[in-house]
Amino acid sequence: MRAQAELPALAVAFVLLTSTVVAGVVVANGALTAAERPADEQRLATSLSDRLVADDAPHTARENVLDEDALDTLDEAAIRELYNVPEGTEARVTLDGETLVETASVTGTTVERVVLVERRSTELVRPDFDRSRNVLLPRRAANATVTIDAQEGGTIEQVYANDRLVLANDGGLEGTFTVSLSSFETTTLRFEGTGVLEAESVQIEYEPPETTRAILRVNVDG
Amino acid sequence: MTDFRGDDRGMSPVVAKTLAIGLALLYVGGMTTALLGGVVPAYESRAGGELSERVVATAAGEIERAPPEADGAVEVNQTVTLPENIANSGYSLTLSNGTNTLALVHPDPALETDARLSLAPDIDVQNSTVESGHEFVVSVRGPPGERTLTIEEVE
Repeated sequence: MRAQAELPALAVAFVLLTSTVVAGVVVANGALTAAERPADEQRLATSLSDRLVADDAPHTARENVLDEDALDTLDEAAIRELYNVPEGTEARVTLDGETLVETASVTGTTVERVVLVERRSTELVRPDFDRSRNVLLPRRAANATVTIDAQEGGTIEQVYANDRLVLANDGGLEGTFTVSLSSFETTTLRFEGTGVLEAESVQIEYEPPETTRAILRVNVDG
Repeated sequence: MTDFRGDDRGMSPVVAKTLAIGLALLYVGGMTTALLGGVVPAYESRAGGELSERVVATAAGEIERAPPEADGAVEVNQTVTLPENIANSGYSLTLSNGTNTLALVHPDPALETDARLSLAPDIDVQNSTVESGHEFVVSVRGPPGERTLTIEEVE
């Protein structure tokens, strides 16, 4: 049996080899697990957030600016049909923590973007023409609706916006007109006419946009 | 001569070596079977599954980014490079109209996957297929409202 002394050595070698192989498999397993990531879920979350703030989306005023009044149109049907999120994939969209749409409870990939939210309020100005025929619109807007209802003793023949002629009629203006203004500068409207302008004769309505910053968060569960 | 007949002392090392060789062969055979029969194919398909998901996600992302935000007629060709093989065999990518789906077709059905594309509503996706092994091009053409998107192989 003396010669069989190498058998224990062989056994030790096998044990060492086996443990090396097992260690290798464990390391490979760890590497593979570490490399796994929800690639498609991440792509979907990114592209959904991109599409939600795109210029041609139905609820945006322009790129990256959401129109607050139109945000109600965003529902599950829009998420599924317009943005092509397949059944079985759940999504949630929140704006500053407030949920806009949620197809189911979602825990997956999150994408956050800083967006602007635009609100429009209608402002009404009734100039009294006390000392001046200039009317300053305190906030900028792209257009304004001017209603002229000339009273006894005075007619309005021209209306200028920052010295640019926007309305004119030699016989006197009467009725409701929409004038386009520059949204890049504050506008002063000047009313030119004959006679005395009464306080009731002009009414100006305009909708200045007001934008606030918000965080749009998109969660997708693949 | 008869003195040597009962002398088998010289056999001992031969038996020992034969035993050791046999055991070593058995061990190597067992390990090879265990690794190639179970561990390696399982890892190959796990890695292949992950790779095919990434390939589809990369391709879908490139396709979604291809349409430009421009007015007027456009022609955009965007080249995308993807791995030649997944789990040692070629594959193809199929773009289908209707559902706007990009599907990866692979000989191993377990590795097939697909992605829904989120595109602007005015983009018309053309049914098209590319094989792996070449670069492929995402082409967007046409005026606003009737832009077409297709994928084509480069030489």
